[in-house]
Amino acid sequence: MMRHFLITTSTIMAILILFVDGQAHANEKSWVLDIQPKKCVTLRQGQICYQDVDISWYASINDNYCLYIEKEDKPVRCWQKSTKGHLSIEFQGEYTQKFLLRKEGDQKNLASTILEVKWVYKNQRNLRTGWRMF
Amino acid sequence: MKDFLYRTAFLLPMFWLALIISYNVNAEEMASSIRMDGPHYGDAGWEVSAGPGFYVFGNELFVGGDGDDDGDSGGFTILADVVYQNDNFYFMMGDQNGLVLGYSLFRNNNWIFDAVLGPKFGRPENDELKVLNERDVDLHLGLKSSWYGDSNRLSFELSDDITDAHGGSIFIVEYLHEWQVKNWVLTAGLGGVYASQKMVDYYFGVEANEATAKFPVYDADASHLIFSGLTVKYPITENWVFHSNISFVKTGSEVNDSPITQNDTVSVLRAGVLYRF
Repeated sequence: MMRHFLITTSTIMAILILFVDGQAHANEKSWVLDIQPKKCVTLRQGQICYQDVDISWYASINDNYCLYIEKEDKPVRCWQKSTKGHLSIEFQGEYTQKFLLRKEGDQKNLASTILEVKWVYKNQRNLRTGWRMF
Repeated sequence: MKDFLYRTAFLLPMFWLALIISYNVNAEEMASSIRMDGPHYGDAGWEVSAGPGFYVFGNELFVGGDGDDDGDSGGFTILADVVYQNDNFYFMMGDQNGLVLGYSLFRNNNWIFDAVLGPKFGRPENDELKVLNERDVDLHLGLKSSWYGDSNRLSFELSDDITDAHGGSIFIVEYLHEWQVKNWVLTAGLGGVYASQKMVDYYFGVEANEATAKFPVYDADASHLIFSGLTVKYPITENWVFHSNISFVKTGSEVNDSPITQNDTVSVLRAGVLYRF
């Protein structure tokens, strides 16, 4: 009898814990930002890399959101009263870029993703200057 | 004496022009492949790429080429592009550069003046030409001056054969221009070659002691040729590059009139993928 009571109590406790934990996650604020593909490859380091990319984001809270490129003041695009968004752009850049999701008018980064710029051949950038004879 | 005149005519003005221009031109650090693919502007070390490919000859220069009656032929090949440099010394091997050992005598941001050593020509052997005496591959030692722009390169080279093959001379001028279209890199080239009588006669002449009914005696004089080409490269991944090149060579009359040649225009298409090691 006692054993049956303990098993029942344990089961109820486990169900309660799972329920409370699930509720906690459901109430947690979350944002996801993704980019596909995540890599752009150029022939030689330093050349401009061109890549068509799809950027998508999801938020647990309906709000006004903007997509930024790191170190740039102007947003790439903003969405009003949304929980998700999608953007297809042609990336053109020499360096790896970080994309950021922020609330409109807020500088706090809610989510980020990176588009890596890679290359086949390294650009040693070791130009010798001045005349050298022998 | 003839070789000395070549040098005086072509190389000395280039040298002084290079000196004058070098005081007025400052190159920025650029990422053009045309600059970085060369052996002059980089750290010491190897840059090695190789991979499978194929080639197609539109026309073959010599009678008895592997192809059909028109000289068309083709097959699979290994494409390779190797550059090694260590301070002033460099080594290059590839479809575009041939085989070259070089030593930079002096340089600035745009101009390079090199001593170069490498083969320039060898006559292929085939069933029809085997009735003639064999011709050796030569080995030229000479001077080369290269000017690098933002996306272009102009080079001049004068060299002499230092083997017993023919002992002749060759002068080469070449201009390359590069474009980037999205991630494709295109390089167009145009150039000319002037080869001395000794060299042309050695490879395209027919001596009395080897002449046949099909290949009568032929004494060739100095000749020229012009060439053009387009190379296309595309980075597939961080290690693999698609590589394609098409080139055309138009030979001069002294070569065309030789009984051992069958076409005055030679074209070759090469394509494949290179793995960067």
